[in-house]
Amino acid sequence: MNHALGISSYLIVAPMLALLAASLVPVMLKVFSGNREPHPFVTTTYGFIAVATALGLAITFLGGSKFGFHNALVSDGLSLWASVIVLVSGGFSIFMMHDHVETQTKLFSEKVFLLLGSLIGMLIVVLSNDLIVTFLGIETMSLCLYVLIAMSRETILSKEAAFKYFILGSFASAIFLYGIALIYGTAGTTQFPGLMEQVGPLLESRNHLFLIGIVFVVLGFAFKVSVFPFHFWTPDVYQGAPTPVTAFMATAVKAATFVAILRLFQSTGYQHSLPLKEVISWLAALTMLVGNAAAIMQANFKRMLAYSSVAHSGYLMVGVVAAGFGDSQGVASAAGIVVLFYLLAYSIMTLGSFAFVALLEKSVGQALQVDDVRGLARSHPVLAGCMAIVLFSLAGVPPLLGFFGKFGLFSLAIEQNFYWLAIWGVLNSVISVYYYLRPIVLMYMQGEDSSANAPLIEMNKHIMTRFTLFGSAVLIIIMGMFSSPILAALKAAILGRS
Amino acid sequence: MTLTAQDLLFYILGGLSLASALGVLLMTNPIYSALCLALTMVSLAGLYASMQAWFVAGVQLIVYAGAVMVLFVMVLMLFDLKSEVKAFSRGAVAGFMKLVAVGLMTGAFLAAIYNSADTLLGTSLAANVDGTASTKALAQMLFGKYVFAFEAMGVLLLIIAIGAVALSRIEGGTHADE
Repeated sequence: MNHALGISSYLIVAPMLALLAASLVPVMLKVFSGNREPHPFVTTTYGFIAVATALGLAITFLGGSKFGFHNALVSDGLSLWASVIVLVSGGFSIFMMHDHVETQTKLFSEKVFLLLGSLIGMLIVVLSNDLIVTFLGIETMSLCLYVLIAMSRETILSKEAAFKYFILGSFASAIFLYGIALIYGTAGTTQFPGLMEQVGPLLESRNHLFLIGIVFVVLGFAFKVSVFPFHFWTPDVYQGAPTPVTAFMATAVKAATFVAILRLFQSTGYQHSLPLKEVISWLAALTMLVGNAAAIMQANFKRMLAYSSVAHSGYLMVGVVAAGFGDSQGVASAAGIVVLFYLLAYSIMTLGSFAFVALLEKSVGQALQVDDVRGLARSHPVLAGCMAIVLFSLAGVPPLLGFFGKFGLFSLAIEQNFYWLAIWGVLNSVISVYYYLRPIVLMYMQGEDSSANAPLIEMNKHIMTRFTLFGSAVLIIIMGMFSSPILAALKAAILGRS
Repeated sequence: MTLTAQDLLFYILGGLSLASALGVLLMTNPIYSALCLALTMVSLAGLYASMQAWFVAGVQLIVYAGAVMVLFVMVLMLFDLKSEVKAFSRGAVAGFMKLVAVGLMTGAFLAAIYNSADTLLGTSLAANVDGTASTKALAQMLFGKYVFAFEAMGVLLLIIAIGAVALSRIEGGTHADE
């Protein structure tokens, strides 16, 4: 048996190695200077250099369907673009952590270390070609987040959130691992390419142990991306976590996990199980409905965004349904393209919206209400304008980025004859307009009547968080205008450029 | 069909592991539960040994029955769990729901095993009669085919170590210094 690893194996893990090496620098600096915390700006700079280096290495070395470490890792268009989304979200989250009152403590260098460690876990998930490696990546990513949430300056809500997330996440991980064991016992492999060939025959021969294994693995994933009925932790944890960490969880965790789900559903063999198709379609439909209906009722801004992220998981599940149960060849790749594009759009919009929340939070443990933005356009016209663009895009208003994401997903669903899911998704988008427009109405149309001498709302002077909000608004407009070249690039990367 | 010594050993160890696993759930004193868990792990190690998987049996004894159990018992001794015990064993409705969930789960699994038994019986594990050969094969798998997972586990442990230290020093933590 040949154990030698080719150079390509090391090139695939180069971004992870860069992240690991750079993440240790701030912590080691602290150790060697007598446990004195380095200046937050220094730590932020190291974190940014780590992310930028990893991004450069990922763009240079990933892509083009290469395998590494005895097929444990795969580097294709899916993993390249997912790495880019994950790393960009991580970079902006470090910026926001530098500014925010709840994250800038004496343990800031440890927080940056944990965030970079979480990014390593996400890169493992998106590059993984083996369910066992996916499991390890998910654990690395989640364990860092449990600690990051608990490390808030706020002492009650964040501890509760961390503990809730930890307990439920451990259960989900245990069930996920049980599912892997059942899959290995019935299919004889945990590597995705071999597994995808086995799906059809095993489901056709009514092997129920294999079916239970798949269901358990899907359940574990569903918890991580908060799909109904495993979404109950989402609002509490998103509210209790410091806002920059929430932004990171809502974007990067979702992107990495959805890529793993797509890899699991890259087979036409799932059509042999009608119940599985029905169950996953209904999960998508109910997730959309529950997320949107609950978001309407929220007065707390972060809880509203949390339920909105549940709803977006529902839209993304439509893409997963199309990937696994569509009837034409190559539908999995087509689904990969639209799901990745949606994740890209969703990540940019969500980072912007949480940056806006972070700008309005002044004290530790402050629960920002939707009504607090009343009349904001008067004191901060530019930032209010940026937030309005982000919210319009989240609602899916045509010329903006969010519209093209939804358009791609729903048109794929129609192509694959999932008419009811597409119609359901459009109906839900209409519901979502109500709660996305409410802050805009409050910012622009109210507050003037309550006389001009009402005090103007002050926003934090955080340069990096303002840059995140401004950048996301600009990206939404520019990428919305150039959505077809971006989609073409995604297509070229996923369908394989030679 | 005659009952060989091997079969008898299997039934004894299997019965013991099932009974002690039930004991983990049914005992009201957490320490007794922990001791039952230790017994479950020891009997599982015995099952592995009866299948000539010496290495797995040894690891099961040293890591689970040894290290993990010591940790469990130490945590149980450190904290006063009386109120938590009450919170977990209260409520007829909750207990009924738990029983229904367990029943549904068990039923689904039994049906699945019953339906898929014929596909499972055809496949048997590669016979590794020689104990040391299976350990060698395990090592080759670990450092060959699964080397990435092995290394990723190393990174995971490093992160956990630093995270645990950081966690103890946060505001509201047990060793807070801010």
